[in-house]
This record gives sequence, C-alpha cells and structure tokens, in this order.
Amino acid sequence: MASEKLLSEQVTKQTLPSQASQNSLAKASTIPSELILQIFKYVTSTADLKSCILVCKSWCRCGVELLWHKPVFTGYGSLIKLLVTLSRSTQTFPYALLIRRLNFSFLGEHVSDEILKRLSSCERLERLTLGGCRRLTDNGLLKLLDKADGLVALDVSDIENLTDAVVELVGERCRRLQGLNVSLCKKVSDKGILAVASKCRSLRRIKLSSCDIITDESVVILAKNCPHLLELDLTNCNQITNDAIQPVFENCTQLRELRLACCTKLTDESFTETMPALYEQLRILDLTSCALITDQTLLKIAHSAPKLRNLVLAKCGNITDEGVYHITRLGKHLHYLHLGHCSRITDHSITHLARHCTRLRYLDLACCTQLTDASVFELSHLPKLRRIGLVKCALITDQAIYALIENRVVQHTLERVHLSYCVNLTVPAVLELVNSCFRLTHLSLTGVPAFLRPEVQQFCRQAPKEFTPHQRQVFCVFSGKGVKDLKQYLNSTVIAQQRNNRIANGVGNINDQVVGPVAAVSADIEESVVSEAEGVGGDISEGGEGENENRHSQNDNRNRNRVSDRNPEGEDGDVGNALLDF
Amino acid sequence: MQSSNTNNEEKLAAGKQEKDLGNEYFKKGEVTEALRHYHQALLHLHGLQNNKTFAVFRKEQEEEPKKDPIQEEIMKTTSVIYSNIAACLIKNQKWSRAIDSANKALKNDPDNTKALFRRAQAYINEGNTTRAREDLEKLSAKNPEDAAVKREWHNLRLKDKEQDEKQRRDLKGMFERKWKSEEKEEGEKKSENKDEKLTSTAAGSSKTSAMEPRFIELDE
Amino acid sequence: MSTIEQKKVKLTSSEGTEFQVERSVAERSVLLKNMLEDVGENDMAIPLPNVTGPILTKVIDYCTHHRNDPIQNHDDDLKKTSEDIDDWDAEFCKVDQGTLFELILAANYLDIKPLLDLTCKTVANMIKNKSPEEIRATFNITNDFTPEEEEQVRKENEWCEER
Repeated sequence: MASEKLLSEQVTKQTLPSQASQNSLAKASTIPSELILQIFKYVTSTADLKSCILVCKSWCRCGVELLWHKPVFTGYGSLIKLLVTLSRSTQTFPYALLIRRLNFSFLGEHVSDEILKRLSSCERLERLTLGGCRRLTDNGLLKLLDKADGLVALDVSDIENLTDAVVELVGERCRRLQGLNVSLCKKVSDKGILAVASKCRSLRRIKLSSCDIITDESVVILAKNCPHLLELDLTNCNQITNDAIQPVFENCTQLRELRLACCTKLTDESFTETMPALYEQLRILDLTSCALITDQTLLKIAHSAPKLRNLVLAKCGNITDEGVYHITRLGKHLHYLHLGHCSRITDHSITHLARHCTRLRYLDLACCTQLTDASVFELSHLPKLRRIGLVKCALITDQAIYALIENRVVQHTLERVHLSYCVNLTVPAVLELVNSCFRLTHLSLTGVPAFLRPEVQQFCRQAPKEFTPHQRQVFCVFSGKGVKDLKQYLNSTVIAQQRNNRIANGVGNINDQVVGPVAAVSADIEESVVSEAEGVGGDISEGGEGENENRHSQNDNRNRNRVSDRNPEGEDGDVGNALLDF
Repeated sequence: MQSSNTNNEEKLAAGKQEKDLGNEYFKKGEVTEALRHYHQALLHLHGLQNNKTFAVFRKEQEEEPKKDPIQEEIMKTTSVIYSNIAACLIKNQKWSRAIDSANKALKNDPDNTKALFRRAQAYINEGNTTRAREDLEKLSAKNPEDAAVKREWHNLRLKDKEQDEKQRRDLKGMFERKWKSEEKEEGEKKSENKDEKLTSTAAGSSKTSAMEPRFIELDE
Repeated sequence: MSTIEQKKVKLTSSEGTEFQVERSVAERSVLLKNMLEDVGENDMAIPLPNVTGPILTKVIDYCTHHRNDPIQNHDDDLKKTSEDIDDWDAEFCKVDQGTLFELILAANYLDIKPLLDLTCKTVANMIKNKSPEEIRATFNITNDFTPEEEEQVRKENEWCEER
C-alpha cells in the first residue's frame, strides 16, 4: 500500500493545472483524467490498453480501471495469473476493488470453490456469471457473495450442488439485485426464492427454469413483491398451477418475457381478462406443452398483449382454427410463431394468418397434419419469411414447393426450410427450391423417400449420436456447405438425366457411367422404408434436426440459459435481452 | 499567457459571484432570473473540473485529502449550482430536468445532501417511487430526525397510494371490459362465421371505436 | 419552428469575439440547450470563457453540419468501435494534435457528446498498435515511472494476454 500512496500523490501533482505547460494549446499530458478515460473507452484491444498503462502514471490509473472492470480471460491460465496478482502483498493498486464484473461460464468445470474464495476480496462486484460452473458448491459461493452488497446480476444456472443457503444469502446481502438465474439448480426451493423475492425489490429478471421443486408459493410472492419484473422463466416448473400465474398476470404489467413451457397444469384460468393492451410490453410468451389451454387463452392474450412478437404454442393440442384467428389480431407485431403439433388447425386459419401477420419471419407448423398446399401457397407471400417448418405435413406436394418460389417473394428471404417426412416431395421440386432460394443454409428432408439414397445422403449432416440405426438410415438434413453440395450434385444429375433421356429416345449407345446415378434418381424407394420412416416419432425427427428452438430437454436448457436467450431471429435487439443486460 | 491556475481562480471567483446573484433572485422568488445567473455561473466553471475520483483511490483520498484546493472548490461550487438549478426546476415542475441536474450535482460532490433531497422530491413527483425510496433511505440514514425528509416520506406514501388507487380503478375497468368483451366476442363469432375474410378487418376497427370511450369514462 | 423564423443566438469566445448561430446549432451543446430552455432567448451574448475563438469556430462548424442529427440519449446507444467515422467527420478531425485536444476540452465544456466521442475516437485511433514508447513519442509524454514501478505494473497486469 505504501507504494500506492506514493504513486497517487505524484500523479495528482503531475496533473495539477498549475504544473501544466505554458503552451496555449492543450496536450495529452494536461488533459483531465476523466477525458483520458473517455478516450480509453475507444481503445478496444487489450493489447493497446496494456501499452497505455505503461505510458505514464496517470494513464496507468485510467487504464487499469478499465482493464480490471470486467476482466476478460483468454483461458484458465490467465485467471490463475490474475489470482496471483490479487494475492501479492504489495499491489500498485487495490486491484480487487476494481473488479465489477466476472464471467466464468466459459471455464465451466475448471472453476472451483478455491478460486471463488481467492476472489472474496472483490467487494464491489456488480455482475457475476457462473452458469455451468458445475463443480462449485455452497462453500465457494457463500464466501464470494458474503461481501457482494452491490451485486446487481447473478447467474448460477446449472450449478447442481447449489442450495437454498446461497439464494438466501443473496436475498440478505444483495438488496440491489435485478437479475437472478438459478435455472437447473434443482435443489433450490421456495425457501430460497421467498428470501430473494421478499428482499430484492428491484428484481427485474428471474430464471427458474427446471427448478422443479418450486411451487406456486414462490411465484405468488414474486408477483406481489416485484412488480417491475421484466422476465420470468418458469420452464419445466411443473408444479406451477393457475394460482401462481394469475397474480403474475395481474401484477407484473411490465413483463417482456414470460416462459411457461411444460407447466403442464396450467389452464385457461391462468390468464385472467385484463384491460386492453395492459401487457403492451410483452414480447415473448412460451406456452410449449401447456396442453390444457384452449383457444380462450389465445383470445385473452391477443387482447392483453397486442404487441407480442414471439409466441410458442407447440404441443398445445387443443388449439383450433379459432385460436389462430385470435392470434392474427397481433398483426404485424407477430414475428415468430410455433404451432408444432397443433394438429387441429387447418388451411383456413393459416390462410387468415398469412394475410394478417405479414411480418412473420419464423413459422413452425410441424405435425399440423391437416395442412395442404393451400397453406403453403398463402405463406409464400410473406415478405420476411426466413424459416418455415413443415415437418410431417404429409399432405404437402411438389405444388406447394413450386408455389413457394413462384411468387418470387420468399426466395429472397428463406434461410431454413424443414420438410422432413413430407413424403410426397420429389427431387425436381426440391431442386427448384434449392436453386432459387440463394440464402438457403438449412434444408431438412429426413424421411422423404425420394432423398433416402446414399448419393444424396452423403452430403447430409452426421446423425446425432443417440440415434438408433433406423433413425440414422432416414436421417437427411443439409446445412451450410451440405446445401451447396446437394445443389451441385442434383443439378449435375438432372443435366445428365436430360442427356440420358435424349439417348433413351433413340440416339443410340448408352454410356454406363451416366446411367448409374440417373437410374437411381428415377428408381422408386421401397414402400417399407417409407412406412418405417413415418413410424419415427415426431419428437425424434425434430430433435434430430438439432435446430428446433423450443425443445425443453435439459441439455437445451443449459445452453439456452448460458447463452442468455439468444433470440431465434438473431436481429430483434429489443427482444433478445440477455439476462445480464439491463 | 496567464498560468492556468490563476486563470481557474479568476473563473471560480466569477462563477461564485454569479451563483450568489442567483441565490439572491431565488430568495426573492424570481426563478427565471435565478436560473439565468446559475447558468452563467456554469459557463465559467463547467469543464474546469478534473473530477475523476478513481475507485482505487477513494479510500486513500479520505485519509489524506491532498487535492488541489482550487479544484476542490470548483467542484463543490459546481455541485451547489447544479443543486440550486434542480431546486428552480422543481419549482417549475420540470421533474426529469431536475433529476438530471441533481445527478450532476451529486457527480461533482457525492455528499451534497440537498441535491439528494431534491432528487428524491423530483422522483416522487415524477412517480418513480422506487428510486425515490432509495434516495429517502439514504437521507434518513444520514439525518434520521430531519423534518423535511419525513415530509417527503409522507409524500412518497401519498404517491404510492395514488398509484395503487389508479391500479384499482384500472382493475375495475378491467371487469367492465370483461363483461363487455364477452358480449363483443359473441357478436364477432357470429359475424365471422358468415364471412371470415370480410369481418376480420371490419370487426377489428369497430371494436376499438366501440370500446375506447367507455374506457376513458372509467379512467376519469 | 420553421428555420426562417429561428432566432439567432450570440456567443462570445474567451477573447471576446462574437459569433451568431441559429438556435438549433447552439442547442447541439447540452450546456447551452438547458440554459436556453430555462431562461429563454435573449439579445445578450452568451459568454463562453472556456473556449477560444478558433476552437469555437471549429465547434460551430461541427454543430452546423450535424444540426439535424437525432439526439442520442443513452450511452449504450453509442457504438463502441473507433472504426465508424464518416468522411466529413474524419476530414473535420484532420487538425494538429493541440487543436484536437482543445476540441476534446471544448466538447466536454459545452457538453456535445457526439463531438466528444468523435474526437476521443480519433485519439484512440492514434494509439492503436503502438508500444508504450511509441505512444509517449506520439503524444510527447514523459515516462514518470521508475523502472521498478514499471516492472511491477507490467507483472501485475500480465494476466490479460493479447488476443
């Protein structure tokens, strides 16, 4: 500390105006430190900033403050070096107090209680991200959080050893807490959440995904005490009932994101009738597998939350055309809609949807088995459609594909197309699609007989490890380079086929080399493959494609929580608010 | 060329003089004139501060205040000016500007209690009861017996109650709305059955015009 | 609020030179904007004792060019990269170092955030890819570390490796 005082004195003297140059113009060395700091904010590379701190003492003070504010580690090694600095008996600056934000989630299992204990001198921490540091236990966390009075955001998701003791300490210490992510901390119970909810009045975002011993009690207290909630994630909290959601829907009018996927006990009664547009801020609502809700819920939601942008209704099997009509009231606000497995809906409501919600970008209609080409024809007019999911819409034919590209609207926007188990599709139609949609980066054709051939499947992605041999056999998903390769291959074979046709039409000798692939294209795939393919459950087929955003397996949740809800659309900045950004 | 320190001393003197003039007008109740002089004072003093208080040194500075006395005074004076501007703006009911000025006052002197008090007042009037509560808690911790602070606590509670009542009124509106909407829905369903394409847009527009006036009545 | 009717605002630099600008130009400065808002317009010139005439000329140039830009409110909105400087702004910053730092001071004094950002970005760009010695030479800064102090700081900050 002695050396530090010395330095501080000298620095102060050096920057005193009285010692400034007699020169009329300002110079770097006479600029107030506040403005030097302002300049350093634009020195974005760590290497440059490191040079700056060695220039002179006053630059050093400014630079270290920035470097230590939110330490960026290149790996475990750099973290250890930082701990070494913190343990030195003489430090030029009290570095620990400069640290405001720490993010260890990328170090995962490398982070131990011992490391946290060594950081317990960081008393001014504001944001702490430990998601996925699964080796941690209460020991380390209690030590680190004991002095973290100023903590604003805490992510301890997926630390399975964590118990209520930590959450209760957070409630006691961190009164200014605004964001808490305890997703997948399965030992956290109402006891912990009550402590936080009753003491951290400024709470804005809380993620309790897969905390499945949580009951209504927690949610009710949250709704009553934290009226400023912006985000509430109760995915997989399957004990939650209407009694919990009603108060949420009555008190937390500022909500932007509400995730209730797999809260299977919820019914229409969860969503009380409100004033029109009371939930004008609500942008994301996930009701995946809330299988008891009916069209009534959609009526109330469209009425209360007219600016809803993302709506996930996958596996809400009671939804009918009437419910979809209600949704269409959201009009141009709706960008993302998931209706997978809502098998009661028909072309009528999809037509209506396409005509009213013209800014749809993502639409998933997987397993809406009644849909026909008519739906796709309407959807082809959507000027912003980027992804369309039609998995297992088995009535769809080539006509749908031609319609999709004929209007020359979606061919400029389509990026991902899911056509698995649309068993009627043929090669020429899909080739046309691939040729005209130049942004296409993903195409899934699992279980489509026309494509289940080694020559085609060689370009497809590796099937997921957990797949059975049979699932592997029908797996057919192209992404990135695979799409390009498929396109190239199909184009060459079709040209070859045309030549073949000419030859067959009586020109003469057939070249064996050409015949090979062509014969395969025209060959019918055995019936048995088709039926077996259909036998594969919808879930598996979707899961296998690995890009369905609304699965709720643990693995997926883990990723989602750590990445802090990347937005499926990837560009709607105001929706994809990460937990830690306020 | 003068050395910049004498220069700063002169500017400090000029700034203080304007500030004092402003205070006189403020006492006489001439808010605009007061504001004019406070702003003039800022024209002398703003930008002279070298006020980056480094987190690292905060503790040490308390132990040995080895700062340039002129610099200290510039910052104190600037803080007072901003705090007084906040007082004027509160009189003029410009809450967000008042908050802004109080923030600047606190940036120049974090211990400026009056600025904190004024910010709390502005927050209450603006309806930001959460922030107001935070400020009042700090103030009460410093001066538990201060009558003015107690008064603002009272005002805060009034504001809370006012907001609660508004919410209750809204809820009442909600039930009215529920009844109304059920009636409406039935009508809509009937018409939609007749011709889905036509009614969907028509129903949308008629609905808002039918509902809106009723709602405004209730809110008053 | 038509531009024809817009009143002129008089400003006086530190040495007493008077400038006349339209209110929308003056209001790019938050310091002046608040003042004009609180006390209204007035024929009296506004003294700016902390800016010299030549620098004020430059500042007025800047504010005139950017008079119609949307006002940015939040710090978060500002792009943190020093790359995106448009052509006019880049040309504007082609001045000697002394003037550049004076502009930083003036932007800070008058509270013109976009100008402060621009000038700070320009200086940050001058720092890029330089060693401490080169930075000292560029900005004429004396190294006031003792070799021991310098070594200690270097060691303490070793953890942040270049990416």
